[in-house]
Amino acid sequence: MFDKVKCLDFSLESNRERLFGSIAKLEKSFLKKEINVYPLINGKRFKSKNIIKYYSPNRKNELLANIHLASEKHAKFCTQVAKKSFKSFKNTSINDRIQILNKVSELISQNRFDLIALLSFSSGKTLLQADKEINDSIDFIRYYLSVLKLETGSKTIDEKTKIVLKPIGVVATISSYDNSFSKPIGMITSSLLSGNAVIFKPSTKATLVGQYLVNLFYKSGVPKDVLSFLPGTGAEIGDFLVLNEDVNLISFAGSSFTGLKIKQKLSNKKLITDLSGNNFLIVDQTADFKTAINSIIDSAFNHSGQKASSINNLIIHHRIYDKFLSKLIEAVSDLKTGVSFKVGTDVGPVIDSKVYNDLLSKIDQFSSMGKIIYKSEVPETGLFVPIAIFENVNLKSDLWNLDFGAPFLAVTKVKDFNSAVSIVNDSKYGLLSAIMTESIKNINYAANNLDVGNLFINKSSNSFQVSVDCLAGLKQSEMSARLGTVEYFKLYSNQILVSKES
Amino acid sequence: MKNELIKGIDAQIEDFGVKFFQVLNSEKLNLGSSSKIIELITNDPKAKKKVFKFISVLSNLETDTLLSEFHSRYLSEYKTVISASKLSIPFGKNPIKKSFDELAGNFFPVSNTKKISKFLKKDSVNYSSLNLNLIPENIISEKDSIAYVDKVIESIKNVKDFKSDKNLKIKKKSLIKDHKAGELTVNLTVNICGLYSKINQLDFDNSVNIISGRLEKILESALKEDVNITVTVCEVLDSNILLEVFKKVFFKSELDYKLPGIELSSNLKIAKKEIEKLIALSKEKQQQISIRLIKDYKNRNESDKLKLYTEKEDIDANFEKLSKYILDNSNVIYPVFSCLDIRNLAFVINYAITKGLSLKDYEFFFKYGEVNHFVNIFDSLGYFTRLSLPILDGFFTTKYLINVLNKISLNKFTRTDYFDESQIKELMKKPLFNGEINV
Repeated sequence: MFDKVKCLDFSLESNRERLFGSIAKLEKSFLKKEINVYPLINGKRFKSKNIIKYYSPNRKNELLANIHLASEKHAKFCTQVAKKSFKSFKNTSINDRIQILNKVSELISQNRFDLIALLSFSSGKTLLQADKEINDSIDFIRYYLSVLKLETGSKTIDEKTKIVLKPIGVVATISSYDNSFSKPIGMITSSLLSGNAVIFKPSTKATLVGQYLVNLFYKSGVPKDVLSFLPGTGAEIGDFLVLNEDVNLISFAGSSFTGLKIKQKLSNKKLITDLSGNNFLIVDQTADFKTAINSIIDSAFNHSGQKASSINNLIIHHRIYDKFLSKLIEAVSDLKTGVSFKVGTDVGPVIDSKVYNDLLSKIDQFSSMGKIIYKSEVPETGLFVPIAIFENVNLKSDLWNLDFGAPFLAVTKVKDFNSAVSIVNDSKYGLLSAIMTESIKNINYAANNLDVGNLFINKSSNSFQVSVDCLAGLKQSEMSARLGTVEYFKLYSNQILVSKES
Repeated sequence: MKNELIKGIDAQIEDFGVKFFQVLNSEKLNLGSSSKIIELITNDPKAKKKVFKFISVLSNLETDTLLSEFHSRYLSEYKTVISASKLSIPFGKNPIKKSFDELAGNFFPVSNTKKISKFLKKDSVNYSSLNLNLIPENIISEKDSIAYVDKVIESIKNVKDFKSDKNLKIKKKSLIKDHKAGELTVNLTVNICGLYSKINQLDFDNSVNIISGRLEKILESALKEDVNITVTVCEVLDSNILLEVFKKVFFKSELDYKLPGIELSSNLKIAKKEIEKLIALSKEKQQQISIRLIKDYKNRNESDKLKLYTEKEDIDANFEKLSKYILDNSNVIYPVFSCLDIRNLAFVINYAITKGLSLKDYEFFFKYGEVNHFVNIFDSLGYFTRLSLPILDGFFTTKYLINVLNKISLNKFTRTDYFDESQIKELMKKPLFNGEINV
């Protein structure tokens, strides 16, 4: 359907040199000048009295940027600008919109090495993880462009009836920090291609990347009144956008807790959600150890376990429990936690000091809910949280039941595969599960009985590929439609039925 | 002129096919003690499915009760072929492992090189020399990689035991005496992915350094025991690291290493470029290099980074293009060809003739168990055949065993049965290349 982009081949010296060059350049620029992030409305920067410091997750106390937080006044002005711009933008030709988004995709490709460096510096993703995210963002744009060709304008049902897709209006895009580039790219692309005006409010932990992203859209030709940027807190700006009547659609990606709160507040407004969950991985007695262990390492510790699709809980068949766990710990103990933009780092820092302090205190707190059997050594120079593995976990405890976004793994053993499925189904979340098995019977059983939106078989829960692994959650990890599908894209339009007498 | 030569060999290729299948049809296939299982899974798809299911769970059956339970679930109808009592070792400390050895032992020697002499003596395959394939099993951590290095070194030390065993059937034909690979030289395949569990393309230099350090230790042992080493990779995407390690380790000035070997697959789109680099390296260092050309069907799909030919015909056609290129450079390259396609092998033989090469200028490489009857035929026709024995253990054996059984139970794969002359003509047709050339 569309040409997927390939990750960079870093076995080529030229690619490595370019990336190292981008890292060196970025490091210098952070040292040389003070970087500021401002609200951008109608193409104008707005200074704010409310400034927060954005520190490097990799090096404590190294200031990366000053974030000028938007106020309610900014937000109000922003909604007025967006509402006005929508009136003209909705009438732009589809070809013009396609051209703009094609340009965005081109610019991301052209700036790929700089973007990998920026993402790694600011979010703490390792370089390979950052490359994968940039890849996904290009794929999102290409995919939605290909979808648009199929789903644009009107669809004739019969000679008397047709469905017409119409833009909705002003879309508030509120996104999380776990995939701070690719997620908003997907959300904003869907909105703009559908003809909507967009107000983008990233997580305060992802504003640096957010500003870069918005500038890419501007450079590509997106009218500056059509896309605004509001760095601000959820309590102030998030709530304002949710309740403001000039905003017609809320597109939210983030925690299940916040997502459900937004849902309660909304009455006559459309909401698109992409919510996180507490995810599980089951290893049965027929599992290939190598596949299972590699999948667990990527599922649990990629981006320090902060991704919505990370797994927190591991369920192992009792027959292989001891042997498997000891092999897992052996492999985990080879992982190196450290500065995310250094080659050889497997696990980077967590996003900010608040999360860092909270997780460090949780390790002690959780030790009463399960026995710590492994805790990694980490440097103290950055926000590096140790990898912690717990066993004999109390299945009623917070350790087992909460989604806390950390490189922690809670482990339990089960007598058989069906019991493992029951444990997963007891969770209030239902985003995804992964199972490691060579048994067709167990695969079928899991597919028929697991109450999750996504089931990954013998692969990492973080191996998402646009248009292949279209995410959708159940229960408290609800999603409005599968991310990266035609259905998801269509949520950004109103579907009007036009019927006439012949 | 060159093109005409190639055109002229088409008829000879067909002649070779006819000759080969005549010999094949006149000989009863010898598959050793595994023949009953092969016969069963070749002729009965339902049985094949059940045998494979049983093998895939075998490594996890921890007790005799479980073994018996799964045996009756899958193999109750076929117990005369695979009996539970033979598989079960009730008083052994490790019944699973014993069961494995019993089953897998029908196909290849397992665990370590000490068992090879015993295994080869009971076998009826005729070959010129041996290769030991040290397949890395489940390399998950650095501890596993260190253990793999130790296993390779231990295997090298064991080589002298069976080399000196006069009862072994390693051929001592005159052909071999002046053979480029050296008289009776045993080869050992080392997989660099096993040498380091954390290969990382971005951490290229560090990966190369660690692998090189470990490979050097192995080479030191190999030099002492007069063993040739061929290096390979699990994933062809690590080929740049492989090449760098190869250059760094085998061409150290203080190392008097006779025949550095490297394995490349014809499904890799950049294989031609890799061979070009190797030829340049060989000329620069004035050192002959052995290139083992294989066909790898494991990676059927291109991944994010991997550019592969995925259609069989493209892979076959590329195999011939690369074979020709390697033979054209046989003054600096020692060519080793590994595939099961008679058309491709016939091309190699006849192109070598047009180049004026003799039978000692190249060799054929066959994995034990896949097509032992091929090895016998090529041997009887006077070609240098190297038999490759996998050395593996435990869980990984399951996969290997299924892979081998699957290949040999597919008539399509070995394409050895039911051929009359018209079908042989069809089989020996030149494969058409549809893929991109300049990648």
